[in-house]
Amino acid sequence: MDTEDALDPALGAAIDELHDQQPERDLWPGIANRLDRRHGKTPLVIRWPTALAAGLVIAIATSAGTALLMRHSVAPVATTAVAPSTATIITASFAPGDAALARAANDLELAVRNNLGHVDPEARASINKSLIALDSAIAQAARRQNASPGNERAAKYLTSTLRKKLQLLRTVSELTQQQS
Amino acid sequence: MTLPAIRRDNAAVDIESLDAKRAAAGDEAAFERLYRRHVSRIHSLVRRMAGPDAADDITQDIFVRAWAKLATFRGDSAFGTWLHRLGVNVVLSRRRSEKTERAWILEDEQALLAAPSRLTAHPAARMDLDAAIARLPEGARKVFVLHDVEGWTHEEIAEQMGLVPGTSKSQLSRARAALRRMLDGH
Repeated sequence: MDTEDALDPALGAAIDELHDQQPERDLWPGIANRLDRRHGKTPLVIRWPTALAAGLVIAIATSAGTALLMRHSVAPVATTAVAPSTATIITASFAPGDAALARAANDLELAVRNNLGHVDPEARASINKSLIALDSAIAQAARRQNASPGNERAAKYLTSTLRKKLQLLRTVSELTQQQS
Repeated sequence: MTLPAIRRDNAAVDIESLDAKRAAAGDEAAFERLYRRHVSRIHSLVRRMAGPDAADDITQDIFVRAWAKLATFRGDSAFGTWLHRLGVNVVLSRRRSEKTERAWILEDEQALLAAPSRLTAHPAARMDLDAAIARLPEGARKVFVLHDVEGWTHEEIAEQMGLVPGTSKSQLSRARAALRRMLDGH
């Protein structure tokens, strides 16, 4: 039997001449589109404490934002300084009520972000952080609901998180309108 | 190897290790750097093991899987070694889901025996090794690539593919014989 000790010299030489080649097209865009943005490390499960954390963030952000907005009168800041919009909720698979909430939140978020340039940077950062936390919670809830459509707990969580986001945006909207 | 070269190699490993940690924490730019550094190696491995048609798709699967499993990379080995092993697992698991390795290895026997006569009739008698490897039946091709190109032992191949080492050895022997004939044009 031909074993690893009896490799034909010509074949061995051909193996030595093998070299790695780049793929003919760039595969990165296709890979990047498929990466799980939540660090890609954990399965798609809702961490229910996230709901509590998100609630706390809202409360802190709202109170901190209120205090800061009332305390400071700041010059307008260019809106380009605002963090990337988080108004990209996927609504295709939402129930009609949730889809309506998501659309309302998206519309209000666009309006709020246009006014965030007038807000104190610290308050703005706090608001952005809250929105990111809420969007993350919404995305997790949507994935969970897609995975098990009959899961009432996931459905309620999604609805309540959408409401929390809408409430936060309303609060911020009122505060920014008072300031402008 | 000269001292500066060693330093460069160590520096490259350090940077790679740092990028792996960053990627594990969700840094996509760091993961793209790892992709750029390793894509030719992984793509070539996949192309040889699974054939050129599926190479792009499987390579993408490997990097997506790597991103998802980065938390399990503890730095005990080089990132490239870890990624390479993951790549082999992905290639083998695609076929495994359809049929057991053992079942299709046995099916390859007939195809492997028939390969030389088909190749003798081929007009382009002499060919490069990559093209010749692509003409091997799937089971023999994987054993040959893992053993003779990637340096795995028969025991490692057998364990990974669910075979006994003797089957791996016989597949390698026949693959080498077929390749010699293809390369010689006989």
